[in-house]
Amino acid sequence: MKRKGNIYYDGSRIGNCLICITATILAFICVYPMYYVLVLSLSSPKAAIAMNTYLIPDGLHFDSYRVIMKDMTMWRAYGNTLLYVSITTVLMLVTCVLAAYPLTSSRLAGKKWLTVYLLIPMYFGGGLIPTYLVMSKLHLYNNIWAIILPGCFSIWNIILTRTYFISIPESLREAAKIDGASHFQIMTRIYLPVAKPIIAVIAIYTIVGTWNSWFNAMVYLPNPDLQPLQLYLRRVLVQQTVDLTKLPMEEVEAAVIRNMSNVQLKYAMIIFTTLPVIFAYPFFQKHFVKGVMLGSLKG
Amino acid sequence: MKEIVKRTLAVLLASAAVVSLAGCGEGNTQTSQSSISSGGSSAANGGDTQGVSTIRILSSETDNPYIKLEDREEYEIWGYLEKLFADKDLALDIEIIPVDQYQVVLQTRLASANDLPDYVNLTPMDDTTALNLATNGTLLPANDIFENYGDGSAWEFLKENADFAIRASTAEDGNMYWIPNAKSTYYQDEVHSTCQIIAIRKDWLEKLNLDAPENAEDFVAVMKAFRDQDANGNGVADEILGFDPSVFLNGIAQWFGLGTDLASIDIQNQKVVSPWYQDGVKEYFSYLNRLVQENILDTTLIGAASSDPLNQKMAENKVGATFTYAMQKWLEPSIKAEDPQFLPIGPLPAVEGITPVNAIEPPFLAWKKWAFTKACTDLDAAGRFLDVIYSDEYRLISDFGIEGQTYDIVDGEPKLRDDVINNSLWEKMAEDRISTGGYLWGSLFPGYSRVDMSNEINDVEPWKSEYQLEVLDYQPTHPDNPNPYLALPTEEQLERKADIITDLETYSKELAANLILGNESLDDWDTYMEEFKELGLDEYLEIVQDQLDRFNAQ
Repeated sequence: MKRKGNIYYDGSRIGNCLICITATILAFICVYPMYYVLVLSLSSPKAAIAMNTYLIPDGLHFDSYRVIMKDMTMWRAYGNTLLYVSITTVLMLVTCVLAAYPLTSSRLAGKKWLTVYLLIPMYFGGGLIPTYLVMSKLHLYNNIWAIILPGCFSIWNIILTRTYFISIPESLREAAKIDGASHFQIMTRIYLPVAKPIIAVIAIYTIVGTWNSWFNAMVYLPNPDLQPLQLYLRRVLVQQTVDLTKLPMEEVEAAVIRNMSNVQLKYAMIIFTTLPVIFAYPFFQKHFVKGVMLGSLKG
Repeated sequence: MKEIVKRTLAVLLASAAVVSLAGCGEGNTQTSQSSISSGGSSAANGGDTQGVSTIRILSSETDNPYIKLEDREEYEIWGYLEKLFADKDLALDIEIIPVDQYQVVLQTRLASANDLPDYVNLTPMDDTTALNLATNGTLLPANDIFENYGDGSAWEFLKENADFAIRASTAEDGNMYWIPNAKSTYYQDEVHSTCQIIAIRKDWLEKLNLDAPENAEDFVAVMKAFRDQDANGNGVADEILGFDPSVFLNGIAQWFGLGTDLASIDIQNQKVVSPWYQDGVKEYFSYLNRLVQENILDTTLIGAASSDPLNQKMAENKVGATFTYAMQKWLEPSIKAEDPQFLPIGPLPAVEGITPVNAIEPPFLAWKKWAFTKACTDLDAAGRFLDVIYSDEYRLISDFGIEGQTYDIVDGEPKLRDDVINNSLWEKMAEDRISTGGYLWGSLFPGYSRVDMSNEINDVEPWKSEYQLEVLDYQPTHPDNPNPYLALPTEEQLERKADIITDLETYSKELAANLILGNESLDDWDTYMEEFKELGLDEYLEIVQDQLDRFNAQ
């Protein structure tokens, strides 16, 4: 609306310019760190250590990418992550829908208590040692299910799904019931098609969360053959941060050689491991924003 | 269409489940194979297959970037080791954890006391946590195993050659709960060691026709000349002194006669002193403040959490002088310049009447930790295990490897081949699956090595070896790491140290940084000393002195 004497009104040239400039600056702030990592990954190893190339790579050195391509450990970790992401996401969707649907029924006995019962572990965890003991006793230690099982059930996601389901008119369920549909049929044929946005949100939450997670693997998965990509990435990054003055002389040399060979590699690795999520995000973004807003407004 | 989607989803789910189960099975299979190949059930379970006892080991991977323990079966030298154990009716069941996750895995496993190994590499664990594990019975007294099991040769060897390591690892109750790595350094059969010093760019000195500095004033002049005459030739006055002065182990503090740590050991007088209480400390801060004013000292490196920022400056060819080991070989290859060279200097005189100190690496070094846990029930097997790793045969394969492959006999003595000494060839050695035992299984067992410094001295540039020989007998000296000179603290001391050390160290670092940057004035010195006393510096010094005295009295 145009206001008298206000040159910044909606749709004015100056207003649009300001918005564009602000958006460009914000976009630059968001994109530049990733671009900087890309520049360093392509620069010579010494320039990568010096970190003094900012816009254009110092030479074009694809050595680290070549190393990555030949690195079977990295590919194995990549494969493991894809496996964990796919299974965890599918199982997460199944558990969310199966747990959320009954909680929307007004006729579920003790629904209030059940919800409270579900909420308690959302706020209070058992802690590392008890969780480790549980994992160990269930023979999940050094087993891929130690990564998948804890990741495929989330109270938060169940509450989110339940909130979305509640927004679906109860009359739809009643009508289906009159037509003779079972609860399973109502859930799969009426609720699920309507709930695509929340399903997409849960899926992207789980994909990104599982893709980025490394701590569980660090504690429960010592076998490098089973480890996910992020733990491998962490290994490449962390091995450099060593205080050399604290090491005996004979150990310093090994640490320095390791640092030199890893500096450029770590940047290439960051690019390589982030690409899938970067490419996947735009496809989910539409549902993501919509789903989160719906969930939050009607919660 | 929907039907197709459903079917596809079903197939995908089924495949995922099958693949995951296969992955799960693979993990278990590997573990069981490892156990079987290692000779059967564990000593922890009293396992004994056909007279062979198996020791279950939990350890990290080696630090070596190329030679990896997980590839051990492919190295010929591993067969030699297995044979040594087999001769004592022992087999090893080894669980290897990657280095970066070892600390978390170790702490979780030991804290939960679940599925404990018989024998464990405890290195990432600090003394306090390790002593707590000893107190609650998770760790067994290793001295008991040394003395009462096996043939006694291991204990005899350790007492004779590495008594210092026993003393540095014996707890208040007289027990040694972990076994450290031990190293003693000699030069021409006399106890000596290398040192950490300030090294200056030799190629820049030559380029600008400058003499190496002979005192602290000269040093300022040379560093100014580096900057003013653009020693690195990039057109910018960016040549700096690259080191972190928030701690006292920095080379320049030692020119002013100062110790190397908050509680530093004056080796000649066997006294624990704090640099904050020493003469010369005010002059030291004035000097560093001057270096800041002159833009010689790079202030961004003060209190740096890692060596990364310094590595950057080094690579950019901006560092004119730095703090490092006298015989280092790793800095020059990291610099983006043609034939850079570092010349060790000092200890330079800085204040009249104060003799500069040399910061030495302790010639008797006890570091890292290995321990037996309560899961180890076959103590006789544990005793035999120790007999193996302290035997002459083991030391030969550990230090030298295989004759004709990694070492030759020269004048009746084993001598490592040049390509084994040259660390730049580790990658090649790994490809050829050639290694000494130490490179391959350094993280698995403690050891003792008697190092002849002449190998290192002969292996570096002449100006470094000449310097090292010159300062071999220099006094006074303070160790760059006080721990090898100290007995373990008592439980009470441990508690007090834990209570006060964090605040003390934080205050010390912050005050040092502020004095150097000129944010705090030397005029308020008495106030700072009062604060130190309130934070418990005197008590801390008393505790460390007591540890030193007990170490010497043992």
